[in-house]
Amino acid sequence: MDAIAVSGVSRWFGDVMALDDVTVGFAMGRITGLLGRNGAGKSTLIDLMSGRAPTVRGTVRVLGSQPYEQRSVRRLVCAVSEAQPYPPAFRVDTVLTAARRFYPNWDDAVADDLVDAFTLRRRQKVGKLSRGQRSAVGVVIGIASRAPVTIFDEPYVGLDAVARDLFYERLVSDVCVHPRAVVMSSHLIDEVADLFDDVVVIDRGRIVLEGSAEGMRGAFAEIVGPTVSAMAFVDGLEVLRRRDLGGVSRITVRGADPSAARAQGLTARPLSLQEAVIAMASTTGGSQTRHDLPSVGVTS
Amino acid sequence: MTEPRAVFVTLVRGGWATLWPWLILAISFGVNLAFYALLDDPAISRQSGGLLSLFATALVANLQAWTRILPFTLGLSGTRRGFLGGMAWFVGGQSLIAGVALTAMGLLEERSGGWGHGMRFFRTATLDPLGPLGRLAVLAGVFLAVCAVGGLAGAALARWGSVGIWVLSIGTATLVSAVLLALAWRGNLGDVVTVLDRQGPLQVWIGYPLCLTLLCAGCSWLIIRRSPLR
Repeated sequence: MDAIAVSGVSRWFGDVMALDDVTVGFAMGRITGLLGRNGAGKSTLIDLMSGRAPTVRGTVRVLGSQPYEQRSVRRLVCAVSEAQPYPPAFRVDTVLTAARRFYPNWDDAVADDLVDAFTLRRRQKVGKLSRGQRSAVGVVIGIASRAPVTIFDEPYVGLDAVARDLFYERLVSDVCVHPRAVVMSSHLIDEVADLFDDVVVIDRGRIVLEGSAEGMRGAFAEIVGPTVSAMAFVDGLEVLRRRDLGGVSRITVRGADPSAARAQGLTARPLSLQEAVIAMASTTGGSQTRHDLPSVGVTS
Repeated sequence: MTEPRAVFVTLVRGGWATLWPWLILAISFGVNLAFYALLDDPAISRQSGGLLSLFATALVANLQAWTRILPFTLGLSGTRRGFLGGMAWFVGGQSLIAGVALTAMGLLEERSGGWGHGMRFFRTATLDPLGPLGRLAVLAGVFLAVCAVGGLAGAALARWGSVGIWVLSIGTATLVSAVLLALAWRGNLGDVVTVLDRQGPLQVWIGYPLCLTLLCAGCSWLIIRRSPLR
């Protein structure tokens, strides 16, 4: 069973459709990247999955129950966003002590260790923290909560490269010892790609890709060459994007074998996760196709 | 720890803001005492309105508790219902403390001859006929209602921003004015005053504040019930 199961969920803000009939699952014991452009619907989906906002159409089940206003479920879900609201007069210590009261699996030792690692000063007021330090407080809460479902919505804003690396390392090592369902939305796709077991790509409120990160690797390629040869090669394959320049075409395609392309005199290279997401997101609108990748090692 | 208790403890531990009304009251008291000590005209009324400063700042402090602690606890996987439960304990506790403290200060004021200068800071004509328990109940009840009004304003601010506060303020003022004008137009305003007089101070100063408290709590709940409050 998925730790989070979203089924047929739609959500409007006025006449803007933020989520359009979204059906997706997030497995327990895995780290899933929730990727997409600004305004794609990531934060709206996270609000619904974390029980922060009510579901109007469709169903959201977290650990088998709907999460909105259900303390029995909410206490098992920790959702940390980059816009996490902290009372500015609270000290770092006050925030962490409050968090300890809300999460039953809270681990003080982990929190202490992370506070030291991020060089946070416990007596400092949150209102005086830099943006990166505030993000670090969120990261400490997210990891130390040991919540069975942990969601990070762009949690690293303002964190420097060293701190981000520390976050990734501590998250992975903690999840290895204490398995849980982790969902992380991120813009720094290449930086976090190796963290993900699974990937969900959302674009204009619709899920356009869902599957294992392993399945994603090598699934997409860029073929470059004379337009006629390149088009002949990709014939029958799923073309995501095509750009032409003076008789040369650059085609992003799914399911191509780069070595076969090279054998035909074309230039070919596999796409990184970030490049694939960009290609997905820039596919012409209106008729997004959902791509399901091989579920390598997916437990759900 | 239950969620309302967690919210309550969070409000108490981080609730330095709730001390501001008392600090303002202390300053107001000091200024009033100095003023009446310097005044040597016995014809001037010695009734101060300084006590209102406590209620005005308590309203603001409770408004801030809603705008800051509600999103914070929701961010920590709390629920709106849990927040309302914790807030009820918090506001109830504050009101009881306010009732006890103000009653005690009123008795002290009475015994000290208005702090030696005939000043009436903690006493009012409404409270005079009541015994200590009656005064405590009235002061706690009014304080509770003021906190609830602050909470309603906080809920509107948390959900709709400053527009919410303006709409709430203007809407309430318009509604109250319209009711008063309608009563005056029909010639019933005097009847209302007579009815209130007949009800006695305890009913008026405890019953109506409690009704107002429940009304505000209900409206606050309706405002935050389905809002994401990000």
